[in-house]
Amino acid sequence: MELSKDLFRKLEDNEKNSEFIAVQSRTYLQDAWIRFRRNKLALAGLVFITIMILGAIFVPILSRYTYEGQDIANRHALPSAAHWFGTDKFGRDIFVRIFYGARISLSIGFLAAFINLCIGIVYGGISGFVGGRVDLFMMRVVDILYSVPEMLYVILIMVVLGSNMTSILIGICISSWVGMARLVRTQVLSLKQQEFSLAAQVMGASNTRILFKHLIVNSIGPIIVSVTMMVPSAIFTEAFLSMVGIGISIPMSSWGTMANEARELYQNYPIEIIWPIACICLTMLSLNFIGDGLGDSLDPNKK
Amino acid sequence: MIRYIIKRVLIGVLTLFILTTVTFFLMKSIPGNPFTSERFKDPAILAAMNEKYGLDKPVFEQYIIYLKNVVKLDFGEMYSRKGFYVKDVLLEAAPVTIRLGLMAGAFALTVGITLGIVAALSKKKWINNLVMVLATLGVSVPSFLLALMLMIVFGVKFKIFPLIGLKTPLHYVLPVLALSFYPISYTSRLTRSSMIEVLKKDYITLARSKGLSWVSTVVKHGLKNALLPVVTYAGPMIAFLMTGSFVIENLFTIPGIGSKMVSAIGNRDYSMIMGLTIFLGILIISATLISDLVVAFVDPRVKFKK
Amino acid sequence: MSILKVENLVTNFSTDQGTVQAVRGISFEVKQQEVLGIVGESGSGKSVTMFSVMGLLADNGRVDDGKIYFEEQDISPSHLDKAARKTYEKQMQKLRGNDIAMIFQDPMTFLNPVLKIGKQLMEPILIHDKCSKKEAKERALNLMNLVGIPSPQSRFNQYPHQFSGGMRQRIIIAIALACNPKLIIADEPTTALDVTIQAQVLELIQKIQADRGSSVIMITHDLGVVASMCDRILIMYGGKIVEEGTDREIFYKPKHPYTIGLLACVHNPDSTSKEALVPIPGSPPDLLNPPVGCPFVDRCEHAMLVCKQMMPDETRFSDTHLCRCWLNHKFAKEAKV
Repeated sequence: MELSKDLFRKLEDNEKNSEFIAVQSRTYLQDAWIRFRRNKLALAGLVFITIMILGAIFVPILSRYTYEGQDIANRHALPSAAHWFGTDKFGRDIFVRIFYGARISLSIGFLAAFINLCIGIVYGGISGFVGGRVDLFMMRVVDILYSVPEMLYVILIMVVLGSNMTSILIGICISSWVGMARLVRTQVLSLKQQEFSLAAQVMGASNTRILFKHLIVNSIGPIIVSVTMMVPSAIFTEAFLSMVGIGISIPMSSWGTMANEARELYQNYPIEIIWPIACICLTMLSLNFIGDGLGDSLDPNKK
Repeated sequence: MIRYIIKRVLIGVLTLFILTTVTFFLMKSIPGNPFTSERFKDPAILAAMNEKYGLDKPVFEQYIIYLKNVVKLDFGEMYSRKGFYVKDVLLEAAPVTIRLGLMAGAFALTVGITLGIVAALSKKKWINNLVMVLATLGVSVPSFLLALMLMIVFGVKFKIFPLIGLKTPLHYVLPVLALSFYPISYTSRLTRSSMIEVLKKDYITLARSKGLSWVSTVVKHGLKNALLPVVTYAGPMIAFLMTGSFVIENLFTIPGIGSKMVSAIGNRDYSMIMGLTIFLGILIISATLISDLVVAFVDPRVKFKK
Repeated sequence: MSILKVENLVTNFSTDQGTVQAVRGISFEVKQQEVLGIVGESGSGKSVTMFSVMGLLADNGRVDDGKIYFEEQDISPSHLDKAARKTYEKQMQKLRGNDIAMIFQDPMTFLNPVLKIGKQLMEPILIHDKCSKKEAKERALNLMNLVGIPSPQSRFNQYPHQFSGGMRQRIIIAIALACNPKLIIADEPTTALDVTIQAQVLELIQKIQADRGSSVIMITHDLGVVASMCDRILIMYGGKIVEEGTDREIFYKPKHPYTIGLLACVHNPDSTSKEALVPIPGSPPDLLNPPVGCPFVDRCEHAMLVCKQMMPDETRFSDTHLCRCWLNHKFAKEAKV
């Protein structure tokens, strides 16, 4: 370029762009969704879980078989047009039982996660927010509960309360809210230090409002991830209990009981055990992928 | 340091005490007692049984007696088999479970740490992806389902490995694999992320600025820091292996604590369930304690925290 | 003879958003026994330049152009082929900590928390001088003495968290000095310290430089720090050197509006007038899409149309003093009149 005198004209202030914004601004959730969508595995997991949930709702309603209807003439049938997944040792349709099992397993998973979330937020929130001796005491309790594996509690509670869905839920919740409480407390503690909560305090917001509005809302990311991860662990616990023989009682079916029933005959009819195993594994895998995907996309520091 | 150890041991004992108490009162809260149901229809015999097992005394007194006995590792007589003592069953079954657990633990740590480090150091994308996929698979497939699949494939279909008991080293292969798959995935994931985190630290840059090669920087400055979380995890991992063995032992017909627990649950043998629970509690709490103490020994910062 | 010579250095970082052009073609040299100050705000590329020289860039950073010579030996980083990279790494391992040493900015994070202070201090000695452990320990204790650590014997076996920030910074300096380096690069050595300790640390670096006759590159964002100790000063902005001169030239005859702005930010305790500190408005340029023209244009009160379109050439005022600013062009002077 040739230099010429008129290039040496002074720039007006509006010709400079001193305060520019380097990145186009989006809301936190938009950002998170865009990042989540890029994660193909998480997306696949989401699709699978959606299908499972829809199937759990509609298959038992629409199918002409019921989960307990036996057809002695048609035992151990292989998959066919009449029985898509085949039948079991009593001639029950496995397809319906799988989705009926999905109802039980998924609702245990989601309910347990939800109850845990509530207990954890209240306990951890109070502990972190009040601080001092209260915090010390509450966390000691958590430490002690934490150092015994939850499976022991669950088994004890199942033995005492008997085998049904409510006692499974109680067992899981009594033992696993502890992790959530710890997580919430750590979040509250770290956020308590930050300026915006101080600002809210200075501006005279009441304690409870600060606790719920600012702190919980700001730590939503890690909490959502942990809740997502809790669902598969509850499904795991249910299946485990059924394998030990103290899960859901027959003739109701969960994936765990189905695997347990098919297990006696797996040498002769391996196909019958493949279905529940595949369902448990794929569901847990999907939820783990979703959890990982959420973890990456909800972390505001990751861009 | 000594104060830290004492504190940790005290907390461990307190935890055990609470576990014992909770277990005891939970079992007591079950309506009736083991003898009300089937065999002892005659009230005189029932009373005699109750007296023999001390069940006629007030609950609190029973509790004190039980506590005293627990200290001696005496968990009473089995309800389901007369003349057999819980302690004897425990002493017979514990070595089996512990041996299996330690083998699976050692295997999981070796493979997991190696995989994690390789993934963290490797610049090749596929190695990273492989480890991550393996890790997610491992945390998603429950050990007992993996065991079933292994049994179907290697035991029934190809008949490579035996399926029952622990007679020869070959018998160990499938149970150890099934037990250690989850810890392998978790360890590799933990090692990988912790190593990546550590290698970004400023002291790694300083070490390199001294003229250390990349390899010796990783070994001398990275490894110790990166493995601290793994050591912390090793304790709870043992816990996982012990409870994880419940179904695995049952599936492979291994006479360990796990299969005893499953049959005790099936028989409603409460003294056995209590004994096994408390014993497992002792094992697990000691394992956690040991891994915490190792961390305190390696990481100088811990000694100064409170 | 110059101890370090950098020619047209270009360093880029690849990030998710694109390539950050952190250093955009800078050249300078450091003479023997000289103290060179490099001044600029964060993001101006001063630390990246030094990490490029040391070959210690983060994984996503790369030297894409330019030459670096240490005592006439070519140490330009090579990323092109594997064998060359290997030889380069070998060569640098011999130099790092031995001939070129670096003092880092944050004493809290640059020491390994799980290793004893003594061990970390002995490490460079053991690597480069191949002496016995006993000898290394003796030298390490001497170093601790030199940097002013009281009772080094008992401190030797302690861990970093048992040291205060100032003491840790002294240890970091001691590590850098361990092998009598010919060139010491100090990357904001006082930023993380209390003001009172800042002065002590600067004094220490100055004393060591004078005693041992090493060359020092002092990187800082604070002109006040370099004022007392540098022979020559480079002013960096937006990945480029905008002005260069001796300390007197920079402080008394600054030519670049940015330098003038920086000087206005420094409180001069000698001045009797009650003039206020003047901040420079605006923020540094986005190095993802660096400006074609002068990087300072958007914050410069004298900005002209040409500044937006072309990077100014350098104008020489003396053997040592040069500046890159269109204001020094004859057209600008005419336009003003």
